[in-house]
Amino acid sequence: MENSVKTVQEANDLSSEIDALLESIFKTQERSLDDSLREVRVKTAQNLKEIFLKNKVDVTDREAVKEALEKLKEELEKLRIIRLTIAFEPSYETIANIYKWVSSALGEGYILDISTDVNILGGAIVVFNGEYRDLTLRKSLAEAFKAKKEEILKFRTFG
Amino acid sequence: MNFELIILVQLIIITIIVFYFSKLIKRFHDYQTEFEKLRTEINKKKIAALDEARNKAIKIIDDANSKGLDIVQKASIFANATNSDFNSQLGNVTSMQVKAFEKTTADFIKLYGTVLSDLRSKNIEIFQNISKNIEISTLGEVKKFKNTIEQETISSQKMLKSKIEHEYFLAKKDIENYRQQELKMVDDNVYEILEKVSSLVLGKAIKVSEHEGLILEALETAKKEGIFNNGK
Repeated sequence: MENSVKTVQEANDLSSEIDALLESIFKTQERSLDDSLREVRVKTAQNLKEIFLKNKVDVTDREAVKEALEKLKEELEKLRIIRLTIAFEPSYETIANIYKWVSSALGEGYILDISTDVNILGGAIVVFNGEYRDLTLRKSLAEAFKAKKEEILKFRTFG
Repeated sequence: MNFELIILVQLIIITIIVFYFSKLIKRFHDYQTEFEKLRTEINKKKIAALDEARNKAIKIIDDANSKGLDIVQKASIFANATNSDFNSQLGNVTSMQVKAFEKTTADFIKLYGTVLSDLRSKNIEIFQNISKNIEISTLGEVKKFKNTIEQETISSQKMLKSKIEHEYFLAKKDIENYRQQELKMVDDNVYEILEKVSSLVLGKAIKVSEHEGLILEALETAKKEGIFNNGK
């Protein structure tokens, strides 16, 4: 389940769906899990079913389902957030590629909080656990110009 | 003794004085009487003289009146006698005078005319001379003025030209200084401009795949710098 949650937005959406599901399950005693799962997204419903199957949760046992859902929600809250500021609005594919690197390099338990700022030109600003790194193209360009100022000025054609 | 002598002397002196004084008074009375006599006599003589004079005057006046009347009578006779003669003489004299006056008048008019004509000719000549002189003088002044204006104009033009050239030189110098300052400012800022231009160009030139590459590079760098170590 955690593999399908890549971003903070997705985690929040899933958490809201879990809350809705929990409320739905205990609304009426006669309502089945399948009926309740109809109130969430198809993908979420499928993922939840997989999780229940994987963890051998008795779907007819409301309490067991509730416990599983609450545990899932706790797991969601434990996920560590990597904040990235990038220069363009990412597609699903881009998010997937970035998350693939995170999973590969750092393992599980991380989600991405992506924001956009076109002025950084490229690269990213990375913030994690209170630490900040400006690894943008803007900064690289500024540093390059600063270091090469005299060389750059030699190329001026007027004066 | 002495005292009595003194008193005696004084008495004698007083007696002499009184005696002398009385004599004077008597004499005065005599003179006064004589004076009165003389005055009376004079008055009588005066009255007599006056009477005599008055009589003489009356006589003279009477004589004069008689003589005067006589003269008047003679004069009127004479006047009457010479009146007609006088009138005829007067007439002759008058006509002679008139002729003479006419002649004199004609001569005078002729002379006046001649004088006026001479004067007129002379005045015309004078006025012509004056006009000519004024013309010559004015033309001379105008020529002199023209030359002065020309010289002043040329001088002003030269001065103005020199001033303009000087101002132009200063302006050119100012512009050159300003140009150098601006170029220096541009030089100082050119790399900023180049940086901004580069940023703009790069921002538009990078593809999505290249962006992804840059992001993954950034994450890789962050990992190498140990940013993710604390989270584990």
